[in-house]
Amino acid sequence: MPETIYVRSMARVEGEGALYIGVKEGSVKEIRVDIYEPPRFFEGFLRGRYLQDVPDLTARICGICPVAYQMSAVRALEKALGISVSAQARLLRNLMYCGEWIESHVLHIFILQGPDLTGHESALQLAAAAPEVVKNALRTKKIGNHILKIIGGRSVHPVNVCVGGWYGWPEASELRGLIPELEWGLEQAMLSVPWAATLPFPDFNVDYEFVALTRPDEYAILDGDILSSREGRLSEEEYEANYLEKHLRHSNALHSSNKHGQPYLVGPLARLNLNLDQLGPNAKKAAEGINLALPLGNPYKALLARAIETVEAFERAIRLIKEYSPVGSPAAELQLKTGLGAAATEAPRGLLYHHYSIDDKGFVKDAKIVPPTAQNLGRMEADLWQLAPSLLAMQHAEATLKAEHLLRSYDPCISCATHFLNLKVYEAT
Amino acid sequence: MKQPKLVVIGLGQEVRGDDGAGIRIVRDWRAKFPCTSEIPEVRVEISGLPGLDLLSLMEEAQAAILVDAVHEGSVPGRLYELNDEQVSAFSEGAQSAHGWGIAETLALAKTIQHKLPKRLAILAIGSNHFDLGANLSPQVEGAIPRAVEHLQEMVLEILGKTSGLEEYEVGVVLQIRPTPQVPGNPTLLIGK
Repeated sequence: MPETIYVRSMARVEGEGALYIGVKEGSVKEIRVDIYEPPRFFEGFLRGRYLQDVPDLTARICGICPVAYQMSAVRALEKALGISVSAQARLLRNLMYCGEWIESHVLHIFILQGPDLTGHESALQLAAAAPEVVKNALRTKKIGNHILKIIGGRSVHPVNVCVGGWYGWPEASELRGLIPELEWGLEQAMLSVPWAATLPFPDFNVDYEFVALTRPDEYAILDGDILSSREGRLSEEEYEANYLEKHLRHSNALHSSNKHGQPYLVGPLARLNLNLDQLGPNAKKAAEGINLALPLGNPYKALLARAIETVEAFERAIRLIKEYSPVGSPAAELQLKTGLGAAATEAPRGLLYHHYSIDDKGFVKDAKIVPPTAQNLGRMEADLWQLAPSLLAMQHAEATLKAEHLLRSYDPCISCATHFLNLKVYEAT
Repeated sequence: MKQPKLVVIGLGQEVRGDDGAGIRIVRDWRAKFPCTSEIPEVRVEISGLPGLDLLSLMEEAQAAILVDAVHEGSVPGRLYELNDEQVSAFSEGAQSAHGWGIAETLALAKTIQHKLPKRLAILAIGSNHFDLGANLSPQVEGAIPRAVEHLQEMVLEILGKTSGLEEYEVGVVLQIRPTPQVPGNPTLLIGK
């Protein structure tokens, strides 16, 4: 039985955090996922900024998912102004988001969680054992980078998106030039789904409340209604009344719960469970190919969901590039007025909610940002409670690795959430 | 577009005290030596924590200079120039480090035989203070001008040029980092 498990700083997660598991007289007394990365007060310093500054400022919250922050921001601000963007502007946003999903998902599948499931201590070991796998992963990830670079000028913190649409249309020919590489990527993504299905996922099942965006016509990424597997459908405007944040002393991130005080799950597993029918033909074929049965309540198998979503992102990107044919002004004209706007998009790690209040000159009066990892923190702790009894029968090193793996399967982005990981099991006093 | 011959990359977190030294050195160098930094053969990148994207930043360049802070115990402000082999030796002890630093990224690239620039050098500056929100420590701040001059010398040497080189301060402490297998040696900070 482990007395003290203490991982000072979790490996292969974004940001800084720790985990405590308190054990007394052979039973688990306390579990805390501690976020000690400092809070960053983004919501505070957005106040008083002009609305067009918001997408580029919020993009800085995360180096892995800047597009998600930009998209939730512009959509919320556009709702505050009561404007909608052109079909081609929306198409381009959808395409850029696909680029980010590809980058983020491939990184997590092969570099962050992959080593846990293939029995390697690190991605370096995995690379030594299977260099082609990692080589292909890097090439695949790069395709996502290219999409961002062409549309947004650069692959990290792209800069082209604005409230109303885009500052400029990227060249269609440049995007079409990506198609051969995207087709290679689609083929690789299709192969990675059956590969992922053979991985030795721990046997673990949770009865989750899944929450994700949904739309009838496509696997929702950019917009849609909020769908809960328990509470049904909500508009984006109804989100805050149903999903609440509270501050816990041990965490610099707010923890979310549903209105009954229960944790819920956002992210790839939630999306796949809720929106399987809306997947594109190749992604659906990939899911059928591994006989995917829903509900899928094994958090480790979020990797499978990411693999299937990577297929979705590739096939959608190819389709969108073929349909891209910009006409007219890239941005809608802004008529400034006082307003409130709430919007959510599906960041790679799950639902990302933004809410802004703006004045008649277009300056931000109030901002609220609820990142996916903050929403999942309560769920991570609840999952650890379910896992903890089995840890007590293990040797210390094995128990530590198991707990770390569970949390890594969430692909937590602590930097985003600080608003995360050391593992510490101690004798509770 | 012709690919630049050399890419100079400033790395580190500007919000973490001395970890911002790499970026500061590249910025100051760019400001002081525009005649070198702005020629088509040179590309300058300020990249914070690029992780695996470091490989993309170096792609197709024939040479790369990475400028970064190293944790060097209690001697902040000392300059180190590491060559390709020393860089890879760096990574050997760093595999368990969380996040993706330069060492892990370069080790991964070598493991999978990813094409790296023919010449890869790191200009590193010994650093010791990494508090969030802090400025550079006085020792590191005081070493910036020397580091800028040294970076210019490295660039000119790689470009095969000698003109424009300002007189180099005699007696500058420029050491090759001791072998990394010894405990307590410098650790690259990127990724933390």
